[in-house]
Amino acid sequence: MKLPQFELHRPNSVDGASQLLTELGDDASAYSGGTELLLAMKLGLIKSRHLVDLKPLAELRGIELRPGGVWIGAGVTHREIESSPAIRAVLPPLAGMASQIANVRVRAIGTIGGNLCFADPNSDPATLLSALGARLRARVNGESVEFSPEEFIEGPYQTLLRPGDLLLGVWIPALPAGSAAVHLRMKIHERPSVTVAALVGVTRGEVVAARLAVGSVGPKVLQVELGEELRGLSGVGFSTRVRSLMALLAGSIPLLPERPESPEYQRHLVRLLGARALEAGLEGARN
Amino acid sequence: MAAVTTPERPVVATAVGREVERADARVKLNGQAEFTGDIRVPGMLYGAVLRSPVARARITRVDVEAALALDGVVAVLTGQDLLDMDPYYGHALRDRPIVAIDEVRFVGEPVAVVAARTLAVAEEARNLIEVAYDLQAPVASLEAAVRSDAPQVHTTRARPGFAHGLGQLPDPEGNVCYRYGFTTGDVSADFAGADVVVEGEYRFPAVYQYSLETHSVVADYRGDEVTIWASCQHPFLVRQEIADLFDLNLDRVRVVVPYLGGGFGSKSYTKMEPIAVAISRKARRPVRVVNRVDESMVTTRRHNMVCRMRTAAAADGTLLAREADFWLDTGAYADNGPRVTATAGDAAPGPYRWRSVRVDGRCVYTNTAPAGSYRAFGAIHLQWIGELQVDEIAHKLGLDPLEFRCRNLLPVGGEVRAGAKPLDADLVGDLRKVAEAIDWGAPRPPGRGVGLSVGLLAAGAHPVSMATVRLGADGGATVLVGTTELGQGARTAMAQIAAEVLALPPHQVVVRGTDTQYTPYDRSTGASRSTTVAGKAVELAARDVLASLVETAATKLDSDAPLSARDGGITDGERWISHQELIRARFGFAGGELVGQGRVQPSRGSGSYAEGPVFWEVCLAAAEVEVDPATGVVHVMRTASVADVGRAINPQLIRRQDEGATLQAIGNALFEEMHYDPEGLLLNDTLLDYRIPSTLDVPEQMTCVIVENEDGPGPFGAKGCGEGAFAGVTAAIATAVAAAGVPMRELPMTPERVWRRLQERGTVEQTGELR
Repeated sequence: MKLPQFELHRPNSVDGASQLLTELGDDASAYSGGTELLLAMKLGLIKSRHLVDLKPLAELRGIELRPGGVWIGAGVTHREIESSPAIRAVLPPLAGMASQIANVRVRAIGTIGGNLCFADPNSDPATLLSALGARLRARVNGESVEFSPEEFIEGPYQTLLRPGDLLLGVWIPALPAGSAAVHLRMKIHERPSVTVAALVGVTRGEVVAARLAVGSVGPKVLQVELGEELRGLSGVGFSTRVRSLMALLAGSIPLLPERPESPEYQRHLVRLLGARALEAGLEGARN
Repeated sequence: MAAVTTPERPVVATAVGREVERADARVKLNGQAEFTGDIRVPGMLYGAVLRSPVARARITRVDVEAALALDGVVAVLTGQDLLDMDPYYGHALRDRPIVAIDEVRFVGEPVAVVAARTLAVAEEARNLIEVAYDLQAPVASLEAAVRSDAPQVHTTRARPGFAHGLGQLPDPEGNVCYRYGFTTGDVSADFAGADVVVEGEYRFPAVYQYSLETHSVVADYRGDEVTIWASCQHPFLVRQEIADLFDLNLDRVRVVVPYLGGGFGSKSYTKMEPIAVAISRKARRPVRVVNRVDESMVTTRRHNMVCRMRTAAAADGTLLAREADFWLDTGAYADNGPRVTATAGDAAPGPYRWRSVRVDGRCVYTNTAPAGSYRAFGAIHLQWIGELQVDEIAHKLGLDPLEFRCRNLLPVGGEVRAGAKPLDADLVGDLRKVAEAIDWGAPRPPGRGVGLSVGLLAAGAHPVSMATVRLGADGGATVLVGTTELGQGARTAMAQIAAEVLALPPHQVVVRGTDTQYTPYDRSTGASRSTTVAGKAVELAARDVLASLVETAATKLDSDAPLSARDGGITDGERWISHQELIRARFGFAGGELVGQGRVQPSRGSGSYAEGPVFWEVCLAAAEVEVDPATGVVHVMRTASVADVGRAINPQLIRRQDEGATLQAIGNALFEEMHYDPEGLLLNDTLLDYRIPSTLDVPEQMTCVIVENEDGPGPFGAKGCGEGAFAGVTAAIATAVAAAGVPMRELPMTPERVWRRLQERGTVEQTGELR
C-alpha cells in the first residue's frame, strides 16, 4: 500500500496554518505526527489532497513547567512526554501512560495533539487527561478557547474542531497535595481495550476528592466525579463502596458496537480496572 | 617432482558445528538484499487483482469496458480468457481455476486481473470492472459444511493433482474432499475395560502465517517460454504446475527465486504464480503482481479444526487407547489440505505405546479462503489436545505428568505408525531435558502452572534433491541447490556443509538463490527437510569434487597413504597440496573447475508418504505460565524446547529457529485467530485487528536444548528442526494453563475465554477478586 499523491504545505505560523486549512476546507488535513493520518490515507479512508504540516511550528512545541501545572504544546511527541524530566517529576502517571503508547516508533513521531484530534476511541491519553482535569486550548474561529477532553472529543474520530480550527496544547494542573493519579489499561489487540484513570485526594487518610475516567470502551471518554460518594471513606468501607459504584458504572457505561470482546467481559474489565485504579489512587494519595 | 608443500598453508577450522555468521546478514541489514518486489523488468506492467466481495455466487456478468478504456491499461483478464485451456490447478486436487469461472467460492477469490503501466492506474481500472453476482447462501463454517443437506462447495469431482503423494485418493463425500484414518487393535474393548476415560470436543482457530513479505510474482511470458520471479518456497513444483497449466515443456518455464521475507508454509506450492503468468500471457508484457497483506490473508491460512478425542488408561498408569475424530476446514479449495489432514491423523495418537487407536480425519470444503501449509501443520492441530488428555488422566490417577509420560512414551525404534519409519529419537531423554530447564518439580504459587508436551511430526516430505558443487581454480566454491532462503539460514548451512567436506572456510563457499534454468532439482523447502535432504545432496556433491581432488593428488603425491581434505587442500598426513594447485595440475592450465553432483532419492520402494517419513521431528517442549484470574490474561514466563537435530550444523541458527517458532506458538496459543462473519467475510484482515506476537511477548526465558545423537539421515548425522517447537510449545502452554487451574478446550486462549472458563468453574467470585 502506497500513499496517494498529495501536496504538502509548510506554513510558518499557526495563523498561516489556520488560514490555509480554512481555504482548503475538506480537501485538507492537518499533519502532525502522521502515525494515524498516513495509515488512514494508505487505506483510502482519508482522501485529503493537501496536507498542512504543523510539525515545524514552534508555537506548538515545548513542555513548560508553570506555576500550578504543566503546559504541553500540541506538537509535542509521546516520546518527549515520556522522557521529560519535568513531567516525570510533576506528573509521573502521565509520563508512564505516554511510555505505553503503541511502540517506540509511533511514540517518536506521534504527538499528543495529533492523538487527541484523531480521536480514536481506543486510546489512552484523553482518558488520563480527563481524570487529571486537563484543559485543551484550541484556536476556534480565530479565538482561543478551552475545553475539557470530554467536551473536545465528541465521538469516534470526531472532535468539535472545524476546518481551520487548531488544537494549541494541553494545560494539566499539578496534582493537588495529598492526591494521586493512576492510569491502568488492558490491551488485548493492537489498541487498548479498556483504559481507566483515577485521581484520588485524601486528608488525614480519608477521601476528600475522587474522579474516574473510563475510555477505550465507549464512543468517548466518560468522566465521573465520585468525591461525594467516597468522601470520608477509607479501608474496607472505601473498598465496599468502590465495588458497588463500579458495578453500577460498569453496568451502564455505553459500549462501542462490534468489538471482539463481549459486552459482558468489557463491563467486567471496566468494573475491575476502575476499582483497581481507585484503590491504587487511595493507596498512592496516602503515601 | 614439484614441491608438494607450500609455506602458505592456511589453518582452516572445521565448518560444521560452528556458529558461522549468516551469509545473508550483511546484505539484509544494509538493505541491499533483493526480494521479488524489488525486481524491475524492462517493459514491466503492474497488476491489480479484482477479488470477490461475496462468499458464494454465480457470476452472471463481467463488464471490463470501462477498465479497458482507462489510459494506461494494457489488458484485463477474466474467466472468459481461460476457455482455450485447462485452467484448473492444485498439487493435491486440481480444483482451482486461475481466476473464477462462472462462480465464486470465497470472499477474496480473484475474479479479474488488470495490467497497466502504473499500479495506481491498475487499481483504478480494477475498481471500474463491473461484476454481477447471483448470490447463494454460503457454507461459511465447518458445522454448516458437514450437514447432510449442506450445499456443495464443489459440484464436480476434482482430478488428483500431480504431487498429492497420498496414494489412492478416496471418493469425496459431500463437502469432505479427503479423508484419512486408521485403526489398530480393539478400541471398543480397551475403552470398555479401562479404569479411566477422558473425552472432549476441542476447537482450533484459523490463523494466518504472516510473513513480512506478501506473495509477490513477476511473470514474463514470451513466445512459448515464461520466466517467473517469485517469492516461492517450492520453485520446482511451481515450474511443474505452470508447465502443466500452460502446456509448456518444463525447460520452457524458468523460476527464479530471490530472497524471501519469510514463508512459514504460506509460500509453499503454487499461490499467485498462475494469475501472474496468465495476465502476462494476455498482455504480452512482463507483469508484476504483489499482494497487499489483506490479499495474502485470503490467499492462504492455517486450517481451523473441530476435534473430538477420547483417551483410556488403566489404574496402574498405563495408557491404553485413543480415538480421534477431526474435521479440518480447508476453505474453498483443497490447497495442501489433504496432506495436512494426513499429518494431523498421524499426530493424533501421540508417541505413546497404545494397545489400540482409531483415527478419522476429514478435510472439508467451506466458502472461506483456502487453507494450506503452516509450520508444524497437523502436529500443532492435534498435539495440544492429546497432551491435555494425558495430563487429565495423570491428574485423575494422582500421577506426576512427567513420570506418567516417561512410563508410556515410545522407545527408540518403537513403531509410530504401521509401515512407517521406526522412532528415531530418544523422547524420554529429551523430555527430561526440557522439564529440567523449567525446574519441573519446584513448588509454584497459585495461578502458576507448568506444562509438558511431546509429539512427533512426519518430516522431510518426498526425499528428492539434487545439488551441484563447483570448485573454481582459485579455490572458491559455488553450491547450486534448490533450497529457498526464507530467513532460516539455509544458504549459510549449505555453505558450511560443502566447506566441511572440502576443508574450506565457509565464507569461501557461495550459495545463490534458485534459478530453475541452472539449479538442479529440489522438491521443496518445507517439512524441515532442507538441511537433511538437500544438505545431503550438497554433501554428496562436495564429496564428488573431493574424489576428483584426491584422484589428482594421488597421482601428484604418488602415495598409497589415505588422502583427506585439510586446510583448503589435500593431505596424506604429512604432505599437503592446495586445491588451487591440484586444479592447475589436473587441467595443465590456470583455469578449469571441478564440478560435483549429489543426488538424494528414496532409499526404498516408491518413497511415498506411507513408507516415510525421512525422519520424525520431535515436537517437545515445556512451559511455565501465570494466569491472572481476574482478567483471564495468560503470561508465558518461560519455555523450553528440544531441537533433536542429530548433528548441529550451526547451533546459532537452530536456536533462532526454535525462538521464532516459540513466538509463533505464543500467538497461536493465546491470541491469533481469523474471525469470519456468517456470510464468510474475514473481519480482521489488518494488523490492527489481527495481532501477531511482538518482542513484548517474548518470555523472560526461552531455552532451546540442542540434542546431538548423530542419528539423522542427513549430512554428518543431521536431521531437521524448526517446526517441532511450534507444536510443542503450543501444547505445553495449553497443559501449563490447565495446570494453573484452567483446562481450555479452545485456542486461542484469549483473556475472555480463560475468564469465562474460570467463571464456569466458579474459581472466581463474580463480584470481585480484585487482585
